Amino acid sequence: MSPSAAIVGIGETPYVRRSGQSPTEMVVAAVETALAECGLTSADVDGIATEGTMMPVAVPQEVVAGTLGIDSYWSGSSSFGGAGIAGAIQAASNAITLGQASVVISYFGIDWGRSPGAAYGAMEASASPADLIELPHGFYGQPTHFAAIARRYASEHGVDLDDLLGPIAVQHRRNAIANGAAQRMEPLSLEDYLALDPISEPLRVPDCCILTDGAAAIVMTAADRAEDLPTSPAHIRGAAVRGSRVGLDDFFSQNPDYLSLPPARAAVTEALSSAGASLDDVDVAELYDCFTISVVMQLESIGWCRPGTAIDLVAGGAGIAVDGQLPLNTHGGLLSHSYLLGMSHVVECVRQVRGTAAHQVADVNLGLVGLLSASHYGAVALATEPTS
Amino acid sequence: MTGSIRDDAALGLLAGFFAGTEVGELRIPRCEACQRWHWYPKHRCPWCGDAGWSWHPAGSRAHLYTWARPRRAFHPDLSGREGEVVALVTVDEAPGVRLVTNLRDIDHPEIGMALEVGFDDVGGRCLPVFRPIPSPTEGDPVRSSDRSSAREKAPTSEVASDE
Repeated sequence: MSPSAAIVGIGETPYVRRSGQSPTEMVVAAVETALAECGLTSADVDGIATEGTMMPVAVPQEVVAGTLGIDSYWSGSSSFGGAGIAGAIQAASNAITLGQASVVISYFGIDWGRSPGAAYGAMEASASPADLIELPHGFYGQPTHFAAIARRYASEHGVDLDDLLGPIAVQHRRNAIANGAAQRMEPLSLEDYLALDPISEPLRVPDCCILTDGAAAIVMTAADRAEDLPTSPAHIRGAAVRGSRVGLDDFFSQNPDYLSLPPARAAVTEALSSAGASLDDVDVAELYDCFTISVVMQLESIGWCRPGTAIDLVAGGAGIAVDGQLPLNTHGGLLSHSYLLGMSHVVECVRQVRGTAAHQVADVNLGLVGLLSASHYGAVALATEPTS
Repeated sequence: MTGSIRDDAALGLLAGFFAGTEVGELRIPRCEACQRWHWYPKHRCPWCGDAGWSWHPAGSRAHLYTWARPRRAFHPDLSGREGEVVALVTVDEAPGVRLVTNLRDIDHPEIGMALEVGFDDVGGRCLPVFRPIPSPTEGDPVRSSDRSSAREKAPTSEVASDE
């Protein structure tokens, strides 16, 4: 058997609007939980991989290493935001299979609640035309960026947005309530949704991700070593990151195929190909639901639905429920569970593959995590078995 | 808007755009080698890699690609401007270019509608804004809007008459 890697430990802090803790404190707690779960200690860790843009500023690897006494470690990172979380797993998996590291931790921790948007500061530190020709017009803030996408989608495809987006928001809330540890667990009916005023027309607040203080961490090691640990491994069968030529500066206005995310299809295809699997083999999907409309874009870009037809899958919520055709964001996602840019999607996917999720899909063999960051996309395929 | 260091750096690439807006002309980068337009300005033509692009007038007409209406100020600079129509428009003479702008003089924009540029102080900078172009046979945008909703209803009445 060729060497491969697995996720063997997971750890999370509570997900709250305001924790009163620093991101580093929360990350350290999540890493300790993840290590303890799989019977390892920080003395076993010889690698750290993180998202490559926000974490180096908010929770630098060396600060975590210094706090936990991790020395002489392999260090890796890749891409930014959600795609970077998938990229960190890809980098760690590669390092483990190449023998460069044996036990790698990865984490994401943030205090959006205390300082919304502050972590984006690092990403916005370079000169951007958006400051000069977008912000003055009010084309600023992702609710407005995605509102414009949603309106174009409705026009091109002749779809009523209330019918399309409402059920997505409502189903994510149902999943969050069933998860039990989600940040937003107040019931949300379609009637409640429809009664809300827009935040940026045509989107309402439940169409938008929440803001979270919290951290999540995972521990990865070689598949053969995973056999000796107390947890069930989630084997990393594929991991990929792809980017497009439009960057963070111009993505929201200049994405050539405005309703589509070509890197999403490329990254998912690559990850599933590594796993020897196709879209039909995916038992559960944890996708980057920063907005309800971005779920639609991913379902159609990745290929589960043809352009303009996602409404057939999401109508009423049944198709994306745990017992539906495509169980989606079973923990409640960025919309209702936590806004950790996908690290809690990874943790949830590990639980689904282990069969230990609070809101468990039956008979999961293969789970897919798909994480968006504007022009980049990252995908990770996790499975119960190390090979197909 | 203050002249921060990063604003100044971004302004370098956009200088030709603002030179145009100051004299009431919409200018977009076009490559001298391959003749294609690009947006936003880059240090090379993103289509062919040539460094020899320059600013060209791109006419005054556009069509509405999409729009949003923020009901909150997502940035301190935008306080008090909630409810404005924020739009992406495609520039007729510069295929592939979408401009971020505001629509003026219209409450119920329709995607695909024809627009004409004007130049205004927007948040402290001279920037393009767009207004509906009344159809040649129609007097004003309000009537034009009424007419188009009548058109939308037409297929229904055709179905009714078939029955």
